[in-house]
Amino acid sequence: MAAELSPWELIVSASFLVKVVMLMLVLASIVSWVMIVQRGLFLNQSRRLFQSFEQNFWSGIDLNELFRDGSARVQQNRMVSGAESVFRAGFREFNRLTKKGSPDPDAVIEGTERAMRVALSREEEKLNANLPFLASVASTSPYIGLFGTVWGIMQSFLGLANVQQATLAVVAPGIAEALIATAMGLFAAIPAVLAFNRYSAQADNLFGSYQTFAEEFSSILHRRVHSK
Amino acid sequence: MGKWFSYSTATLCSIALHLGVAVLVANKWGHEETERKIVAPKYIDAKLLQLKEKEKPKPKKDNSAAKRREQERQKKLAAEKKRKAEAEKKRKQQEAEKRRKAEAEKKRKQAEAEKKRREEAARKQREQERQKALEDELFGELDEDIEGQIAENDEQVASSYLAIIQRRVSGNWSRPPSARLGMEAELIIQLVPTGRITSVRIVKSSGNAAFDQSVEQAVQKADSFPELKNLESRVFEKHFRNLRMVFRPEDLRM
Repeated sequence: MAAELSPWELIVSASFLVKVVMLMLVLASIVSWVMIVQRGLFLNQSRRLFQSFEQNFWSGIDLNELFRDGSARVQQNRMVSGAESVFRAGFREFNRLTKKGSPDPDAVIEGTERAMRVALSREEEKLNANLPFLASVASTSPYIGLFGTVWGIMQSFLGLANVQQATLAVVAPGIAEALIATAMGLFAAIPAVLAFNRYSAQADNLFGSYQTFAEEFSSILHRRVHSK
Repeated sequence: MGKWFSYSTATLCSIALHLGVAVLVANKWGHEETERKIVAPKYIDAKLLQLKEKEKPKPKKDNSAAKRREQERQKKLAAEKKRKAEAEKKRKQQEAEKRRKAEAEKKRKQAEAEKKRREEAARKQREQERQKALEDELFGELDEDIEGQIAENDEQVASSYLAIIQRRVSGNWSRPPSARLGMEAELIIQLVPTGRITSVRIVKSSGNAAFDQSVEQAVQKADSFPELKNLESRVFEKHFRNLRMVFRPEDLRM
């Protein structure tokens, strides 16, 4: 009897509810891995773009040129760094306000900073996208698996009541099949937990760099306005 | 690198990973059944050893005459030994010869016995087959009869166990003073093969709550009928899994 216990048979012979639980967990695991890989690629690229942009920015290039470069890239539908979009939002607003010939330099700075704040919060959204899903998979899938296990064990004990001689061989397959649900839950949860922790730390880090950059840029603009 | 691209790579990666894990689990599990080695415990026979004192080397005498005598004695001893060894060898050879002969004889006898036995077995089998064929013919006709007999037999066994249960329950039953003749309560008792009562349910009330309660209590008090353990499962399933009992105040009847 023990020789025939393959995992596939255990899964097939599980009761309907346990099967549903297993299916949910497999789906959750697949989707969470999609998120994990996608987030990994995205964050990696964001960091690379940010580094190259920062290098470019501090190389002494003319800001107008930098802005035009970025516009070309945006038109080609290529990805631009988060810091660059903050820069573009701030610079556009700054140019508009100074062209109008606004007399109050403080008002110009204030408007520019507001525009940059908006761009920053948009960037933060992008960085943290999909992370809540990972967090919920990480926290709920062990419970879902546990539910499947408890249900399966319950069923196998109920079946035990109708058996004349209760041996371990009667209950063991039922319990083994129920435990598969927990195993699946953990299988889905562990990578999700690890990925969530890692990616949220990375996202925080990147967002912090964007903020620093925004501050630096606004100080440059401030100098420009007040030195006129 | 567009959004679409990153998502599709991620999806592919994820699906490939899951398929890989599934295949790995399915394969590994099947092959993991290695033969279990049974390691027999090693026994060491304990023997009582007699402790002997080692012979002490004799002090040498550097006396040449004594030496010569000693040598001669040793030579004689060696010759003696040789003779003895030869005699021993001869004796052993003879013995071996004898043993061989005896063994050959034994083998022959065994072979004969084996042959006889085989013949006997074949004969027996033939006979059995014939017998079986005969029986089959007979039983083909009698099958229905036998089944009927078995059922009847079961019925008898069941009724004897029922009698035991009745006796036990009626012993526990204290009839309430409000019980009147003509009252009748019917209940279903659920039993498990160990003889325990799992549930008692009144299906037809007598119309008198006290009476119903007393009946139910009587059954509950009995708790279990361990005698049912000896019952065949076929009989149990048929008669005792759901046992229907009718109670009347004048007697306890089924």
